[in-house]
Amino acid sequence: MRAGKNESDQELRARLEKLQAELGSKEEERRAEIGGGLPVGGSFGKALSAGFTVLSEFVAAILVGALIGWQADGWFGTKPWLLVLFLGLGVAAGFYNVFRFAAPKDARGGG
Amino acid sequence: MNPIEQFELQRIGAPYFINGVDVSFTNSALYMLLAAFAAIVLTIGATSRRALVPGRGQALAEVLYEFVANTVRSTAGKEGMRFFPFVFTLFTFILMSNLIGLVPYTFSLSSQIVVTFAFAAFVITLVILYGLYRHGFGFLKLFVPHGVPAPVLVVLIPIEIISFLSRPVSLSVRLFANILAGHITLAVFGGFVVMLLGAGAWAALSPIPILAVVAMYALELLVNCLQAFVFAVLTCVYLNDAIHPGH
Amino acid sequence: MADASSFQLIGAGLAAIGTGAAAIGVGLIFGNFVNGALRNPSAAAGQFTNAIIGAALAEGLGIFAFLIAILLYLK
Repeated sequence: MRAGKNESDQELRARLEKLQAELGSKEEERRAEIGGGLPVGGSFGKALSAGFTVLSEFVAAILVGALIGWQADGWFGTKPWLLVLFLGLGVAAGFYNVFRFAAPKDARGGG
Repeated sequence: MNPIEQFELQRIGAPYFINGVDVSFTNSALYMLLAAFAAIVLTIGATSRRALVPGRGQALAEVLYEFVANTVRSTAGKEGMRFFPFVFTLFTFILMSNLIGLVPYTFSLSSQIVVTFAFAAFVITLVILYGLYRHGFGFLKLFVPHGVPAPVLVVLIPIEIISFLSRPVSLSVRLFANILAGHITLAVFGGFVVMLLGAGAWAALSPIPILAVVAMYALELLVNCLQAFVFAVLTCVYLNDAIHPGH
Repeated sequence: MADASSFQLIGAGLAAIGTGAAAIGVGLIFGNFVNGALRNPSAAAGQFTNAIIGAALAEGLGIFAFLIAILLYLK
């Protein structure tokens, strides 16, 4: 079998450390999601990109809801109730967008 | 100095009309050609030597390629790799047009809402067409998450539809608003410098706006590259929705 | 008609107060973030992204107040 207990211990430890290093790097790869691996800015850039994305998706959902409601009011002549309805749905859709964007990061252990 | 002047379209050369529609060559078209040319020069020139140990230009192109490839593969999976040329072209074109727009006296393409909306509309049309081609009408399952009771579904489906339709709007408005705001801020601070210099005794304060412009330029560089990247990443995410609908 | 337009301008000015409210909201978020970061510095870097997301949401609602002010001013 292996020559000497000390050698196998050291071998084992070396293998353990190598495996741990590989596991660590794989874990980092897995955690690299949106904005991860960005060569400019690091974590500040990641946070900035998340902020811009959230802002624009929120505002865009409300705008699209209002637009659909306003246009549907023009077609069906039910001023202004459809606008109110779709504005409310747009706000809900905006929050839904933000939730879908931000939530998985929270579920992954909070960084 | 009017900070809005930098965004005006100017005709270059002779006016050219097709059926009464003005399609003459403008400075916007010139900068589009410049951005495309820069992207082509970067990729072809960098790979022309094909050295095993890359020189600087080749390393730059390889970094770009690997970066976009990793992003596409990690967000859209192996099947998403067939969209890799499209995403790479989009990313490089937006990056080049942003970087060229940072040079003073140039015209930045992405500060025109029609240009960014064209990009976003193309991406969303591609997503819809590919989803319909790949899954037929099962693509509409994207709007119906499973494991949801029926009454909630009645409210949830319009919300999902609105959320889907808000994607092109958010893609285009994000890029447009960031670049427009950055360039207007730079122009306004530059105008401050000129105003201070021309006001006699206040000229002693004029280095302050210059420092502000330098800091803003650094931030602008970061934001422009970031916005190109975010555009590409979100394109991959939406394509992933087309390939695997109904998360 | 003239009354309506002068009231429009007053309304535009009142709507712009909403952007100040957005500033208060963003300040609250970052103030709480700094407060928490001083108590637990090692966990602060991970939550910075959440702070920026919250600030973006608060800012988004302030943008709507601004939009209404612009609509009233220009109509």
